[in-house]
Amino acid sequence: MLNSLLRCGRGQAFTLEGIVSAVMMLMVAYFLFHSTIIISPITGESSDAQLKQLGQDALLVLDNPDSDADDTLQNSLAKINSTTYPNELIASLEKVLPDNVDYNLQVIYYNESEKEIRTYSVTNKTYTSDTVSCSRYVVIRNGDLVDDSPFKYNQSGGIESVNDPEYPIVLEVNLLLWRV
Amino acid sequence: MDDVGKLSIDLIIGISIFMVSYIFIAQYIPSIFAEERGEIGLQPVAYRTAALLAEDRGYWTNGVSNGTDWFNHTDTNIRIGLSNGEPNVLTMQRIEGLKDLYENTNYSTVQRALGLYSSGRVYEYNISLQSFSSNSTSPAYVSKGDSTILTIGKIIPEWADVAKHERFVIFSNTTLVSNVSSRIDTPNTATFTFDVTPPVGAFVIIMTDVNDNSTATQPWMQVWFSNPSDYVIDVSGNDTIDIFDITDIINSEKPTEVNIKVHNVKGSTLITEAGTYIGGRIGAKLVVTVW
Repeated sequence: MLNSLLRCGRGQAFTLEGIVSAVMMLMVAYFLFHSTIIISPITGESSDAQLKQLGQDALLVLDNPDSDADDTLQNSLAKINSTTYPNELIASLEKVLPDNVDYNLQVIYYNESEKEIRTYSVTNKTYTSDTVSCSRYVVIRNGDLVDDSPFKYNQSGGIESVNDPEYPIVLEVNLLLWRV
Repeated sequence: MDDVGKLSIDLIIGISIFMVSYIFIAQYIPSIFAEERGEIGLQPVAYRTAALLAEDRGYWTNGVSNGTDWFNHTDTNIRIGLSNGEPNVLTMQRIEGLKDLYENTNYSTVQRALGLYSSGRVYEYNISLQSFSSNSTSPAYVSKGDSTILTIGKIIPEWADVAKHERFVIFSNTTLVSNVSSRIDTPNTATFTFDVTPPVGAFVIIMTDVNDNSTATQPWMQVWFSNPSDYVIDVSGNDTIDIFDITDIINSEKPTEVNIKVHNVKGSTLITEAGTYIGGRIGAKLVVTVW
């Protein structure tokens, strides 16, 4: 039977094709699952959860209204104006966050002259699509803000006398994080 | 015998290859997803353990009484927590309580107190306090004196599924984890020298106020390492009353001593290996790994 098979060439091409295609399938399956890390949506969310936790913790350790340190959220945001940048806060954020994480820092505040919520971007980097957001509210005395601060309440009068230096200014510090 | 039926050999070979491939893939693919499921299952355990340690004060009960000072009642049922009640603010008393419990009892006592041991599953653990710049390939443990502040658990296996969760924490009492010197407090002019061994966790000069000199009231400060004319800091007047963090300069220039010459100031220095000076406090990274 083997002799007759070898003597007659019919059908052998199909056998070879079958073997070659089977080997290719096996090789593709083997290399696909051995050389690739499978990132399922759930794995990605787990990674994002860790990143969001780090962001929340970073804002928490920098939130210290009782300290005179220059890098606290309160002291850094209070001195922001058109010419002053919160270098100490940025330096501390970069000290805390891992090297493979980049960020944008924004401050969301109420602009009393325009009567609207506005966003002040401390940094404005290009971010990726897989970004998480963390935020923390801080309260600063109106009198502690520099005179030309974008967050300052300059109106006077009214029942609450908003020109009072003790008037509380509520700022939402928003930290956007992504892996690079 | 004629050639009729030869094609059945092709069919047998083809079916054999198909079956071998099918069995291989059918056995292999589920195992991939089983491993992934295992890793996803570990992550919440690491998260929960880190959250309990960083945010909870802990708890003890003997069935009659209870409280949060679990480190004084380690012979009862306890849940370990390191916080002082404020999230992410750890107390040295609780950290040392955890270290003592680990060293004086055994690995599994802490395992049970952390909720990592049950009849259904036992999780191994490694818990430590590391500097912010630390990573898995080169871990840098924060220390006080000659010993690390917290390093407990088994060595993390290299070839197994592990889940790691990190929390940024701060110490509730800065002076307990630092060498705080008030030597630079003087109404006159004086030079103070501090020996350093870089890298340091933090070296901070904290000037709080002007001192009591009534004739030369203007305060000033000059800081240098080895060359007295090469100042790292040279300030006078109101600029003197501030906080000066010179950690990065020390770690880059690696001097052996820091000289601080001051006039009419009240202040102190803070030197520590327990973490980084951040937001006016000493901060570090709590790293929990389970497998």
